[in-house]
Amino acid sequence: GMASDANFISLNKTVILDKNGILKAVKLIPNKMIVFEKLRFKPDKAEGMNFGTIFKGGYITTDVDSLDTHADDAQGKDNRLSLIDTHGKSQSIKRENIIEMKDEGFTGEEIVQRLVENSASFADKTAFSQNKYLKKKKKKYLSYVRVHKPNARLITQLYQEREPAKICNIRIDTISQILTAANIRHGANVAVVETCSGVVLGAVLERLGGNGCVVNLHNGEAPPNLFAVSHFNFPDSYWDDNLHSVPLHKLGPLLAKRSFEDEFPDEQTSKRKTSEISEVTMDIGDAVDRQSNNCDATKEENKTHGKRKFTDEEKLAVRLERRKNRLAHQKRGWDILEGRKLDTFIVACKFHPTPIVLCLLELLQLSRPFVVYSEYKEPLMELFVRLSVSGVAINLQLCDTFIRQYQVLPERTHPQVMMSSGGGFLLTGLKV
Amino acid sequence: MGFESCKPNVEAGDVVIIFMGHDSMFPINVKKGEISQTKFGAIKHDQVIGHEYGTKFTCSKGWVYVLQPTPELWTITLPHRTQILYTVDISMILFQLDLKPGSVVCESGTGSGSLSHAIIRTIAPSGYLHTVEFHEGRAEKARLEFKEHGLSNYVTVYHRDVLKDGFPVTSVADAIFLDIPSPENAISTASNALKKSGGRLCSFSPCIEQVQRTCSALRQKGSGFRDIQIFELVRRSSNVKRIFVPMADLGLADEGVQRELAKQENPILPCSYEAGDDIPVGEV
Repeated sequence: GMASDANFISLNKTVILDKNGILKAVKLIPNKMIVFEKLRFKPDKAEGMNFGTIFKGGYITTDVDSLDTHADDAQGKDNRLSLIDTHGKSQSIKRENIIEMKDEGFTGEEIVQRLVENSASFADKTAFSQNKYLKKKKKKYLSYVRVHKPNARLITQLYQEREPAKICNIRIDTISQILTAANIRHGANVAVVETCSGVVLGAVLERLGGNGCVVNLHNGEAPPNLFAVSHFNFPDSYWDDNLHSVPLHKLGPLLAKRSFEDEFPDEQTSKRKTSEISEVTMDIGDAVDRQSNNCDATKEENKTHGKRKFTDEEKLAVRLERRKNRLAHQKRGWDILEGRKLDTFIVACKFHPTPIVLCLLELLQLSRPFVVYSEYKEPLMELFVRLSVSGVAINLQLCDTFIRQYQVLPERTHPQVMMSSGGGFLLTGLKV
Repeated sequence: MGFESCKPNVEAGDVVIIFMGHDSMFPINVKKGEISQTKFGAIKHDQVIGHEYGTKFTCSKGWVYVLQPTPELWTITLPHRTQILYTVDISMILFQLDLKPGSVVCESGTGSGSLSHAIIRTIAPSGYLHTVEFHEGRAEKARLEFKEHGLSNYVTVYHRDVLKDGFPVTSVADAIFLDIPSPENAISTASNALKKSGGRLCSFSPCIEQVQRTCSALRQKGSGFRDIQIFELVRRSSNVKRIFVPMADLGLADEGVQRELAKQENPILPCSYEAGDDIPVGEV
């Protein structure tokens, strides 16, 4: 929709805050203090500003160039004459000096630059420890926050850096491979089995662009909290029309040709019974009330009792509405599966993939791709052999991606020292 | 057709992928009355028309599958007119450029159209690709290909020199992709093509010196770019072999033996194997 594609910051929407590459998803609530990496600020001033806007000590600037730190340029000198032991004497700027500088309005960048210039040992450090030093100092003195529009890239990055276990250690490069291997496109019907906090679901929904359906097959009875999906700021229509959750344990009954009505009994009838019962109890309560007119205590008790019953009724109505809504979603998801209308499926979960994949292959259209992610190679190898024996899938490939980031600076280009490994494995194939 | 929409059956005029193995497939334009040769023998197009995609066809010396094309299958089967980008890099490019339906993209150069097909798939139906190709013949060929693949509504191919003439559009793009010999000279035109509210740029270079020059240009004060990241990606394929390991006969089939063994406190074998079973095992 138009609103979600707007390139300016609106209140009551989720944004991604970025402080020196540390990310956080936050909903901007009017006049509500945001606490992020020791910074406190209210979001109100940001309303209407472009994404990429910078919050800096309470005010907002759009001067991008002044904030670009070129402190990296200081490194890479000959360190053969390294002084080994300086015992904290190498820094000539004292704590008092820094406080003075802050009072004089020096920026964080300027303070870091001064610290580097006045460090006797900085030039003698290895590139690695120079980097570490800069990172530490920048973290301490650079106190600006940028506001980004949420998207799959930032949300994956956020989880990858902060809580990788919550997304099964899936990496940006891996999720990018999943989206292409599954041929995710507008209008596609996609089944997703994930235990990645909704990151995979969100990335798929983003690529559907409001057109097509995701059947979210989840473990257990109730759909899990999809925190990551809510970070995307999708319009309501995405939740209403494009995302349908069905319990995984309904796959068996579906394949056994059970009917939706049998598997998801309409609870309206049983609910009507309970509401009838509560009506009856209410009548009894009223009768008791009328009978014990002269006993104030009982009257009071009955009143509060009646009141509580009323809110329970309200709660029940909300719960009924929610259940009805969930049932409607389950019906739509079920129909896509039962009608064998799947254009692709993605499995990226903590469970053993083999039974899930064998079931979903039954529901996938011919000549359509599927993708299975696992943190470990072994279950995918087993699945690979099962599929190649069964003959229901071709073009099977088991692979992983190796990613390396580089620092590229004049005379100082090299692979980044710190590298994450273990982005998991992918098995891809085509149903025939 | 086939690229633009998913449909169940093969029709005349479709581009289909003939699959013989993961390292042996090629595209054909299905035409009434025509015959294509495969290494497993001839396949008549009339035989294919009307059948479901994914169907197996028997030729004289083996069998082939007829598949619906996807940008990923196209990338490994397309006729090479240049060096092409492969899916491992394409995936990361699409993701890093934040592409989704509705995105407007500028690309230079078009080359053999490997990335272009993936971009169009991702930004359709409401997005648009402006792709610039220096070589006239290649531009013309790409234009024809997009038309044959039913993608003309989503793309314009421009024959021009992006370094001399710049991108053909101003302030409309969400993302820019550069795969040219001197990307450092295209930074200002890229900046002009991007929306005023900002956007993403990706430059692909096979050699590190080019990357260094591009980074320097992007880091120039006033270039308008920031948050520069440099990635290298390699896809590692595991070769999973299907090997069958026969089971030895331990005399466990005997019922009396089984009963006796089951009585033990800690059964030796948790599950029973039939002697002669072949258990498939994966091997790398």
